[in-house]
Amino acid sequence: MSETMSHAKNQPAHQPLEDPFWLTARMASKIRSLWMLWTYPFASVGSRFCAHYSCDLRRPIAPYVKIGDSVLLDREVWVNIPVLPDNNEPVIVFDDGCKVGRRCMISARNRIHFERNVIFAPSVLVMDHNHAFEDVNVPIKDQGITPGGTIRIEEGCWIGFGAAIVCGKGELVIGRNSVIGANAVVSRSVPANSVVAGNPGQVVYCPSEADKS
Amino acid sequence: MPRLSPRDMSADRQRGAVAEDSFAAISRIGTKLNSIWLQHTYPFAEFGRGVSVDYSCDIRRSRSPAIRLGNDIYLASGVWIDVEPGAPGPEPKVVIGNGCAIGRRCTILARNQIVLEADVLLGPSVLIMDHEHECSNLEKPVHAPGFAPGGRIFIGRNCWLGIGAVIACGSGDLSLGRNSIVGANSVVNRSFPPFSVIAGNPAKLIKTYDQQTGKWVRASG
Repeated sequence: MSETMSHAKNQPAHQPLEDPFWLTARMASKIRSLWMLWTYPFASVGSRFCAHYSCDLRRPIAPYVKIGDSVLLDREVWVNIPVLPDNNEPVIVFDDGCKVGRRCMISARNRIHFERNVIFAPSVLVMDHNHAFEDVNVPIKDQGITPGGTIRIEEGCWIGFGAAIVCGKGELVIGRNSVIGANAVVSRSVPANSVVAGNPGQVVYCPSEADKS
Repeated sequence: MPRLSPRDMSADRQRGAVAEDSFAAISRIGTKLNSIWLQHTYPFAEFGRGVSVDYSCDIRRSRSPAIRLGNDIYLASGVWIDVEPGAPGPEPKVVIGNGCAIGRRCTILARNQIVLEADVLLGPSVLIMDHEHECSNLEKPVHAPGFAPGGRIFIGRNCWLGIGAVIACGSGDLSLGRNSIVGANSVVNRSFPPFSVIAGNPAKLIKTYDQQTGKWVRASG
């Protein structure tokens, strides 16, 4: 156990200086984070916010994004709100300690809420709406997007590499401490502490059910 | 089957880049300088001849003693190779054989050992990971307790992994025999024999190579 504990400090931001060339990228990321922290009109933003310089989070959507303490957005993360809402409710909420991996894409129309300590592997897609495609005579790109639903990912979940979490309508909740397997496609709610894998995503392990049987 | 050697292919790439666009030459120079910088200043376990590492690759100096790169390897842009600090044993944790080509955005995360034999071809966005997050303690957040012990991964020579494939090993050994082909977005979590075509999530055997007829035949069952 002591050995596994020693791996816990595996944060790219806290590496010692190994190669002088890394300093350029580190400084660019630091400057970008501070710039966003000071000049972007976020709904709220906590301390120790860290965004890689290649992150794509535009200023117009910042009033609808709420960020807690120690949130990390790794390189090439894309945070998007396709249609700005009329009210001032935050649309995308990251609670304290969320770590968003490389190339993750988060696109919200209604509400996506990541609770505390949710971690993402690279290449994850989280989307609460979709393209409309009902009319066969109109190109899909001109049909706009569906009303969609809301997504809540509870405390301590781990989303595996390449997973897609999409919500067509209603509310999609991923229970606390759940694990989503690599390349899984999740479109329905998942109970707490479960392990989900496959396409379509199946609950392959759930301790509450394992206790019962 | 006519087949270009990796050296021919890299020569092709160079000619193309220089002839097409002079701006492409800038990124080629960046990649060349990065390869030279890594070769001469990083303490790699081995760094072969003709290795090309794109300037956007993420390989940290502190991890390089556990990484062994053979000859004529090509690492495309955005490749990330990482070794868990404090992993047990002195042997190199990531071994990439001669002539391997690693596609864009590939991620190789090792704790015990990941071996890619010669001429393995990885498509874009492939993940190879031989351990996973420790999630047995439900009271702790997944990222706090570190990593489960995991297993070892061995990929035989001449394998081809399609775009988005995931090779994940939670425990024990996972070996993918030589000349196997893994379909796009497959999730491989167990071993497969040589000469297999596998696909799906979780991956299943689709075809095998029949030595007598010299053809790929659909796997029975």
